[in-house]
Order: sequence, then C-alpha cells, then structure tokens
Amino acid sequence: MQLALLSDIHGNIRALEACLAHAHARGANRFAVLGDLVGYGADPSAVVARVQALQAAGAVVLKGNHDAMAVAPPEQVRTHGEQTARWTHTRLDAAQREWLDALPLSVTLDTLFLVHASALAPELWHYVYDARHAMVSLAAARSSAPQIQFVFNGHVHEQTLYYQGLDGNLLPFAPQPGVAIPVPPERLWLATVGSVGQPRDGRPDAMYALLDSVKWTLTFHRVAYHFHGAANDVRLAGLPEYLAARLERGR
Amino acid sequence: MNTAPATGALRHRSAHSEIFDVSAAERLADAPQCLKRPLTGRDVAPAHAHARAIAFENECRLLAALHGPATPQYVAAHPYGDAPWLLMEAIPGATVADVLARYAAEPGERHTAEIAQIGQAMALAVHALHRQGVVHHNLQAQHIMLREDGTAALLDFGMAWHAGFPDLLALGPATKSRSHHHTGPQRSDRRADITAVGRILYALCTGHPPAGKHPQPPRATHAETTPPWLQEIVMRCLNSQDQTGYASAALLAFDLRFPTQVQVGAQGLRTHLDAWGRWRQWVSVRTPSAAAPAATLVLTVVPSPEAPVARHHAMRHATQRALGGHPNARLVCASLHPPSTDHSLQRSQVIQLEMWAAALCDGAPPSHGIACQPITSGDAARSLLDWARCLAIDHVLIDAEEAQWRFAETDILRTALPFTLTLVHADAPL
Repeated sequence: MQLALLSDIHGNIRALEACLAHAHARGANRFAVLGDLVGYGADPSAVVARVQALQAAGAVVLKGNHDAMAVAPPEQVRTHGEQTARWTHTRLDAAQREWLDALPLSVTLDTLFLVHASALAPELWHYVYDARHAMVSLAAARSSAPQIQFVFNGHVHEQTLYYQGLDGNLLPFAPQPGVAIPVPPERLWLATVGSVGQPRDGRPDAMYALLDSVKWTLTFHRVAYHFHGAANDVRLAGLPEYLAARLERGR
Repeated sequence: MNTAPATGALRHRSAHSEIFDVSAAERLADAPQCLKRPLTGRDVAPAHAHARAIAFENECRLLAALHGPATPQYVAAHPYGDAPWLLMEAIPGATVADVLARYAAEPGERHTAEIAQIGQAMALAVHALHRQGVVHHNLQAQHIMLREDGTAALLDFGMAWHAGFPDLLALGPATKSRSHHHTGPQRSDRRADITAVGRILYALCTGHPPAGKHPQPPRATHAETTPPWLQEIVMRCLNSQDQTGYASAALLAFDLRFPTQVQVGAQGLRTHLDAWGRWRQWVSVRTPSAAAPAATLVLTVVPSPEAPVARHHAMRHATQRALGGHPNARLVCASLHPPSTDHSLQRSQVIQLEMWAAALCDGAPPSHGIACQPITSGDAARSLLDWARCLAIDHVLIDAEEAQWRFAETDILRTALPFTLTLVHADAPL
C-alpha cells in the first residue's frame, strides 16, 4: 500500500489538487484525509466535493476542529477561525454539512491509527507539538488498540516525525522533504504530516506524507503550487487579508 | 523475508559480531555475499545488549540507503528478534589492520608511498560517504577494507549518522543529563571521521595509535618513512576541529595525492613535542571552530600551448572565478595528451602546466593548493572524467572548443556526472 496522508486542507483546492497529482505520480493507491478540510480558505465547497469523490474511491476521511466549527459556527467570534467558520457554513450546502458532521474522529487501519489531533480525547483537539504530547497521543492510541505501531496526526501544520531514541523515549525529528525514511513496524512512530492548504513553517509549499507499507518508508513531501492564486482567491472571497498573506508567506 | 540464508564457515569474529560465508546456492544475487550477526545472548551484558541491537538496526538501515563502491552492497536484513542478521556484499582483500600487522611484523615493509596511497583511498571512501549525508563515527583500521584496485570500502555502520534519518542512537534530554554516555563530537560533524583517518594514518606511520591529546610527532621515531609533508597532513587530520584542520575528506585526499603542494609548517617539521607545541595543541583543542567551512576542488583542462591567447586568458579568468579566492579551494591543472613513453616529454608537460598555473598566481611559482597533472591516454575524455572522479573533483572547467571535439565521439555528457562541468568560451564576456 502506498498511502498518501493529507491533512489541514483548509478550503485550499489548488493546494489539494497539487498534492493529489504529486501523490498519484508517486504511485499512491490509498488516500487518507486527516481532517480540517475547510476553514480559512476560499473554496470549502470544492474541497468537500473533491474529498467526497476520494472517499467514494476508498479514501479514509476524518473530522477536524474546523470541520466541526463550520457545521455549527460559534455564536461569538473571537478568532479568524471562528470568523471564517460562519462564512464557510454559508458556502456549504446542507448535504455537505451533514456529510462533514458525520465524519469519524479517528480510524484504525491495521497497525495505523489516524486522527486529526491528539489520540487522547480526539474531540478536545489537543495539539501534538512536542515529544511529551506525542507520547501521550501514542499511548492513548495503543490503549484503544494494542497492535498500533503508527499514529498519524494533523492539526499542528508542521511536519515532524517522533521516534524512539536509544532509551526508548520519543524524540522529535525534522524530516527533509523527499527523503524516504525507514519506519520499520517493529518500532513505534508518530508523525504530524503537516498542512496541505495552510503551511505555517515559513515556506508556502503544500505538505503531505506518503507511507509505503511494503518497504515501510515514510516520505514527507513539499509540493509547489500556485499559492499567489490561492491567496487571491481568499481576497476575492472577501475574507481577511491576513489569511491571504499567510498563504504567500507560509506563516 | 525474515529468515536468514543458511551460513557456511565463520569468516571473521570481532567483539561485537560474527561474519559468515554464504554459499552460492543461498545467495540472493550474483556477487559474493556474507552474513553478519551481532553477538547476543550470554556473551553480552544485558546493559550493552540493547545498545548493540539498536546499533545493528542502525547499520542495516544505513547500509540499505548507501550506494557506491565505498560501502558493501546491501542485499537483505532482518535486524529484529532473537537472531538478527544482515546479508551484504563480501568484499575481498585485506583490512588496514592487516597492513598494520604486516608493518609490525616487518618494520622494513613500511613505505611512505603505500601509506599515502592507503590514506588517499580511505579519504576518498570517507568523502563518498559524506557526500551521501552519512558520518561514520567509528572508523578504525579493522573497519576499512582495501580492494585490489587500490580503493577502500568502509564497514561497520553501527554508530553512523544519516542526515535524512532520525538518529536511533540519540538520547532524550532527561536520560542525557543523567547518563555518562559521551556522544563525543556533534553527530553531524564530518570532521570526526577525518580525525579518525588521521589516527589511522598516524598508526601507519608509527606502528601505534596517537597517545592522548598531545601525541609525539611521527617524525620523532619514524623520520625516515614520515616526510614532513606526511606529518603535516597527519597532524592537520588530528587537529581537524581546529581552523587549520581539513574541511573535507576530499581535501585530505588531494594533499595525499599531490604532496609537493602541501604547505609544510612547524607541525610538519617538528621531531619532538616541546612545551610551546603542547600549549598550542591544548589551546587548539579547547577552541574548536564552529562548523567546517565549505571546500571546493576545481580541475581545469589547460588548453594546449598552441591555442590562441584569448582562450588561455578566458580559462585563467574562469578558473580564478571558480576558486573564488577561498582558502579551502584546491586546483588541479590538467592537460590531455596521447599516450607516450617519453619521460622527458612528460616532464615538459608538467613544466608547461606549472608555467600556466604561475600566471594564475601573478607569476609566482605555484605552491600551496595547486597541483599539475598531465593526463596521457588514448581515450582522453574518458580518462579526464575518471581522474575527476577519483580525485573527488567538484567542478571541471574545459575550453568549449576543445570539449566539442574531445567529447564528440562519446556519450559521456549524457551520463550523470559527479561534478559541475563548465564550458569556457573564449569570446564570451568575462
């Protein structure tokens, strides 16, 4: 299985199409979308339709906090996310909202555990931003299903591989794009696969990861796409300039 | 595949592992193969068993990622469970430890030329490794095979570090502060391997490894077989953390191949360690430079003396630009000639190159960092590329007109070259 792991698309159809084309060209034959299909970006409806088509072809699709927020926008607006949640809500039709609402929070595929945020109480959307939280997420996944060796998270918009060092504790590793990292299933792994549609590490290229479960390698990819176009889409949609500019800066 | 192929005779046993022959019927490919098993069970204290198992796993995954003749070809492995194994190419030949044993048994066997040749082979193998983003971290004489063609292959990657992979030997912050585990130099610091090559070169020169931080200069006991240039090279390797140390293994190979251009300083001439030298070494050990500055090796194909002045001028200009005045830049001035057995002709070819290089240095005779190498061959283009390859050259410059007819009959330019190739046009703006 060549499993493409995509997360945090955030209504960015251009970045999604670029990642899917990139993954297809590298032999991806299974897809998993780890939540946050919508929110922030200009094309929530197009992204939902595209991911629905992926799901119909066998893809795993999970719910993220922004998907939940778009289904039921908060009364009070305090953040950009909450502001665009109301806008996103209006751009989705009732059937799309119903579909988003019905998405699962996590899925187990044999030894893989897929979840948007931490596997510990996924509905609370805890971030996995360091080794300690990675350990908690991994332990929570393994307590629900002991065969789990891999946990794949989104939510943090950065690509990090947590692995066991010499003393068995998890350590963070910043992957180089395009390097096939050996991830033997005899070890425990947790990866945050990065964000397709809203990178925040200073580079505007879209991110996703490709797991080869024959050779057991994990490759973190960066994909060039027309981010100026995506930013202009955000401006034309009348969304805050800040959300457009961050696509161009990758911040 | 988790089952190991059946093994034949025990070929080698070290403190950590056993290596077995693999019969032709059991091989997974055509080349001769051997099977490595780490020593486990009752031979190993439990505290070390875990670290050893992880090191073996590390070796397997790194060998699988490496390619080229500087490392044994990986075939298959299963580094887990009760009977871990690694199937890889069996490299024929002797190890550098065998050479040391030969020198110890027969001191008259020690020859400067052989030491330099072995040193160059080791340095080039280490450079090939470094170019793939890997630092070995455990180079010892018994881990280096010398192939019959004079090249070296490196073994035993248990402690090695790969730039693109998570470091399985790393410790979490909590354990690190508690343990006495010394990781030594930074895991990404390639100079650790250059120092290790220096220690082996020192042993080849003197018969024993350098003692402590202030070893006797090799010329104290072995002045006859250790000329000043060789001692200079060895001491620069041992001080690789210092500013005067080698920035890359390719620079070390260059110096061993072209000893006449080595700038011999006080550390090369010294025959004993005085108080001043001891103090200086102490200072240099305590003030390591932050990062290895970049190094570049340039090979310029010097046009024939009959070529128009404009072409020579353009080549000199392009060469100077490629070197960029960088202290870690090295230059090989090469010229291409049909085969000949006339020694006086070869001598005059070297002199012509030296004169050409002198013009690069404002008329002064070229000394430090510039080597002159006429290349005589029936297939000049092929030989040129072989030379560039075996000197680990980064950048080759050749006159565009000359390249056109030299490479006309070959498909060399369609193959992947391990260096940048610049075609210099005489009439292009300078």
